[in-house]
Amino acid sequence: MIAYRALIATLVVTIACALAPVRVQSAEAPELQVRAAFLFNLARFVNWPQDKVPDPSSPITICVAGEPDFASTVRDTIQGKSVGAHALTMHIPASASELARCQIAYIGEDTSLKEMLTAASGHHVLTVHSAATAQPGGVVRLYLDERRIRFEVNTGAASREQLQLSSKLLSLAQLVNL
Amino acid sequence: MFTRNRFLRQFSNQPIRRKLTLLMALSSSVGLILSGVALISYAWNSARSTAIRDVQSVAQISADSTAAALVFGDVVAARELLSALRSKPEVDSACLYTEDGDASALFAQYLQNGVSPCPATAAKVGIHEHLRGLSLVREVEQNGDRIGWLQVQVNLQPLTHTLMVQVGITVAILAASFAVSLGIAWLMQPALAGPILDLAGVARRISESGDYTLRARRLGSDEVGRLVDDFNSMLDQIAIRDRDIETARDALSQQVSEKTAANQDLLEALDRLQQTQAQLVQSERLASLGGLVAGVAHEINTPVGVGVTAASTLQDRARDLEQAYKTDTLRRSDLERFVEVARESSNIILRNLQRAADLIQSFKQVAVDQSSGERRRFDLRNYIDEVLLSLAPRTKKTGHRIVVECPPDLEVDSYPGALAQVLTNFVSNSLLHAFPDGHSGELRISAQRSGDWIELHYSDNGSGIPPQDLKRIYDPFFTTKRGSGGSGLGLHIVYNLVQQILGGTIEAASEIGAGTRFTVRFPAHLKSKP
Ligand SMILES: Nc1ncnc2c1ncn2[C@@H]1O[C@H](COP(=O)(O)OP(=O)(O)OP(=O)(O)O)[C@@H](O)[C@H]1O
Ligand SMILES: [Mg+2]
Repeated sequence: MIAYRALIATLVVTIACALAPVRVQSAEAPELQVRAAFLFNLARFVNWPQDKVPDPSSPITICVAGEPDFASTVRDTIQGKSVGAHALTMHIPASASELARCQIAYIGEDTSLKEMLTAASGHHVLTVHSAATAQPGGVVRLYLDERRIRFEVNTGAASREQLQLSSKLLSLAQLVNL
Repeated sequence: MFTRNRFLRQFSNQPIRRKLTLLMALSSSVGLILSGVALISYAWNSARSTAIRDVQSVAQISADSTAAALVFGDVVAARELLSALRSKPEVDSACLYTEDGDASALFAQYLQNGVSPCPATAAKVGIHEHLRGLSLVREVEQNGDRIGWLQVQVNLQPLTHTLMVQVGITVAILAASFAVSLGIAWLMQPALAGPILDLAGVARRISESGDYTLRARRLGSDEVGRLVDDFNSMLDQIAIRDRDIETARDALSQQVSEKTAANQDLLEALDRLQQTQAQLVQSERLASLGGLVAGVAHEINTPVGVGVTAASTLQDRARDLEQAYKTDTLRRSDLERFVEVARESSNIILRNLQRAADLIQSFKQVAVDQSSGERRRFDLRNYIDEVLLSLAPRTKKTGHRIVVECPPDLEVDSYPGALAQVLTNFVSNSLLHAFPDGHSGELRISAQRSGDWIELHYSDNGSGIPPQDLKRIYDPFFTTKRGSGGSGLGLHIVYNLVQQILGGTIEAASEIGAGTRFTVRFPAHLKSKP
């Protein structure tokens, strides 16, 4: 009898412990999912140069450096999705040099941002970050404004990397030129 | 179908004036209605397709411009982009929907004045028409992926209003032109209907009065004018025909009376002919009776002659015997010889007298039958023999073989005289016509019973009768021996006797060179006197 009660008590505690972090995560989840959808949707409005995306069915690789929670959300979000005929794949770079092969690269706040941006520059990578201010090497910066995610486009960086961003996209963004 | 027929019937009962007026007015207004309907529907269709093209391009532009805002969830930007449609007053509303799982959810909207609020979910893709106008639903795409829907609704009421004004104007024009064409038709119809009515009036007067001298008046040289001409010439022809018919009728009645007179003559001639025929039959009878008497004389002459010779021989011998007895020179042998001669002579005399008596008996019978025409029972075989016996004087010297095939005891109840005359004619024809070159042949008579009838065949194996003559042998006075013993009445009388007296039939068959054959059928027992 006592053993039985103990078992139930243990179970209740275990379930409560298991649920607790989920609830914490779900509070953050919309923000992660919105950002992940953002990355995915960005792919719709960008044209890469011919040698970066050779034909309409070439895959587009989205890389997430750092922020492992976000990386897995992105993986879930783009799972089985495509943009036009481009299949979307997700990659977690092991080193900064691997960013060169990404079409879109999100550089997390827990990485050395400047080093990453330098490594990606010159490889036609659409770099996305969430730093507090605009960065000369970053193409798109995400920021929160009245609890809404908004974005800023560095047109200088975009043209240096020969990325054509759709005017529809630009009409929604804050524009800077660094 | 029924109503159509009734309509047509009612229409065709209308006076021609009204028909013409109606036709003219109707046809002109039908043309007007058709062209009005065509114009209005063309205007409506082209206005509508212009509106559709407009709303399509508006939707295209709006969908394109709001794609990014839709994707990035920027409602404010989307609303701002949609409100650019303010410059298009016909656009009532524009509604942008985002994908919400499998369904759609309203994302942003632009409403011009709140008349057409956006539904909560997007309608089916395509064009929808409703009272106020039409709405178009299309997908919002980016890179070929569907990211939402856009619905644009336009107000076509101004267009409809313009159209209604057009319809009103057209109907007014229609009514006016119907009235005008009715007036024109009313003014015009006497020109068309007048001559026809005139013609109809003349026709009616003629049929009522029977006066074919009336003529219709010709008012123009169109088809009706020609009709009037034809009508008049038809009247001319009717008049001529009437006259012709009158003449023909007169001629006919004259002919009829002439024919009647001729008929009368013919009847009289026929009557005379029949009388002549009866007389001829009578005289033929007398003639054959005369022949019979001659035959009898000839036939009896022989036995009587033989008897006379025998009697005179006996007389001579008796005188010789008497002489010898008186002179006492009578010898026994003389007496014996006389007895011998006397017996022989008396035998001869008796035999020949008997024969003469027989002949007379049978001639008497034939002669009685022929002249009296008496009906009686007789034995056919015997009677044929008797007839042949009476013909013997003529047949014997020709050397023809005469064959009779007839069963004995064949009793017949009929007119033997007629039968004798028939057979006599057959035989004398064979003698006269069948063997022109004089050599002898065969005459054959055969008779047998066949049911209630006697079938009698007579044939010779002489020259035969050519087919064209065979058809005419029974005709009175048909003969091939005119002027040399033929009168052409023999077979005619035979025919009448067989038909009228014996109550039977006769057929003739002949083949040139092979002979002639007559078949006579008559009742074995005649029912009653003909
Ligand atoms: N047995 C026959 N063979 C050939 N011809 C015949 C014979 N019988 C009749 N005819 C033909 O038929 C015709 C008509 O015969 P029918 O007895 O009517 O007249 P007919 O013998 O000429 O004259 P009659 O009046 O003297 O008998 C004859 O003229 C003859 O040409
Ligand atoms: Mg004759």
